[in-house]
Amino acid sequence: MTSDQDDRTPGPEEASARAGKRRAVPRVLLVDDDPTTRNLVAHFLRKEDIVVVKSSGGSDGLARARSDRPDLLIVDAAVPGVNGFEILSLLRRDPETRSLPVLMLSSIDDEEAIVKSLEEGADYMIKPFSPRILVAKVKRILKDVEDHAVDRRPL
Amino acid sequence: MSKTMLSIVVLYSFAYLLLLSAALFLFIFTRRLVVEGRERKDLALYAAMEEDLLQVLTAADPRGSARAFARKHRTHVRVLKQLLVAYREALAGRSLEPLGIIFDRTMRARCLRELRSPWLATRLQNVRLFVDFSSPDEAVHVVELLNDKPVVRLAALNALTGVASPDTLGIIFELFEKDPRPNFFAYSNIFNSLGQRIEPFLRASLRKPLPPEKLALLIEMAGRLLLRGLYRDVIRFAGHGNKELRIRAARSLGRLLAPASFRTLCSLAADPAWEVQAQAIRSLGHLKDRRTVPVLNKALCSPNWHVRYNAGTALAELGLVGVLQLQEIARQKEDRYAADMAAMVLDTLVLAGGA
Repeated sequence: MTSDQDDRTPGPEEASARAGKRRAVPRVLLVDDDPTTRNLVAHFLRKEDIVVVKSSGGSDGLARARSDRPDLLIVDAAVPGVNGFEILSLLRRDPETRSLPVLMLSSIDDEEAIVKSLEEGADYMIKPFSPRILVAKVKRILKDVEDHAVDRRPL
Repeated sequence: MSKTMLSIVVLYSFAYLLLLSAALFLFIFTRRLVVEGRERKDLALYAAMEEDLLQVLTAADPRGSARAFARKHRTHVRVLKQLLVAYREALAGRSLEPLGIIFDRTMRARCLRELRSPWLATRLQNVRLFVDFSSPDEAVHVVELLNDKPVVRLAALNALTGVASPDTLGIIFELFEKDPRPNFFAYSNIFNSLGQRIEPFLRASLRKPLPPEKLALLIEMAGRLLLRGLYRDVIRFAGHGNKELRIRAARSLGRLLAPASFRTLCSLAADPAWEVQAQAIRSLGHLKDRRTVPVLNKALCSPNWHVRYNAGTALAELGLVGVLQLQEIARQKEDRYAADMAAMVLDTLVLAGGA
């Protein structure tokens, strides 16, 4: 199980975020076992000044989602270990991560799977995908997060 | 003397064997080093190419950048092919355009040649590139792969759907008709991706004496793709001796939503097979026609649970009229099973917030 952290040095915004304040630079956790998808998504998001942390395994991704508190989790439904649906369900059961926005990326074009994800409050995108649509979706979700100013710190 | 000779022969044989083993070991070791070195080099090259390709995809002028990329990397076709296959499968939409340009300028001719490679992996890799980047005049090369191993054949069929001229559509249907062991899942995916263009070919196939399992898929596709022009061809199977075909006809008629389906579906609701009844009742529900209420009421008293369940949900789909019927049936005491089913459907409606 490997994970490669974004190579950017955390700026003052991130430092303050770690101190408990809201971040000015949005931070996305990307969990996908396919290196092509990881590199593709990370490249397009970085172009939009979004910090991307990559993880290739479900268990590692879940642990990072809990510890790093990203502004958005992008997860592949069929990631090995704990799969995307399980990650979503576990995050929703935990009061600390219940409101974490999740975007499910999946090659499973199945009505049930899509409905299940939407019911759990996750967006859904089918692979193969248009990176431009993905970026637009991510920006919209991050804007929603900013507008609602959801503070996801533990009580 | 002979003893000395024997010792010399043994010694030489031993030395020969030792040398042979050493040479073999050296060969294996060297080859491994070469292969590992090549893999390392390929990985580094792949990473560098990937970085360049990502820049192309986000460039202000992706076409121009793609041409520059092709010029820069055209000598490393083997690695470039792996990169294009990986990104072709990850990308959709306009981002595929630069990939097409790179493919055209670096490897199209070579890929066409390699479609005839004796290696399965090579044929597969090449045909996968033609799924998105083929042109109609190349269909003839791809068609040759339709008799290949299943995995190559499936990729070839996918490539053909990308250049769906009438000729290639005809070839796909001809292959389906003649295929002794068709992969129905694969054909279903292909027909789905071809969409409504297949209507004339589907009509022609439906009129042929094909095995029931093939006809079943074709009837199913007519409904799934909403090919209303095939309504008369589908309705013909409502009276077929094969139960599976009657089920498929009932399902497709429920999807095609032709008003004239009502009578056929009513007769299928009285079919001797409960599976056909259940499907016909379900399809009657899709019609959302008040004339179906008496048929659905009757079906709610069926001895078969599935028929009763479908009748209940079909009544619920009718809205207020159906809900009132369900309430009435739930209250009556003559048929306990019908009352239970009606109550269950009403409970489901309440839980789902539909009542």
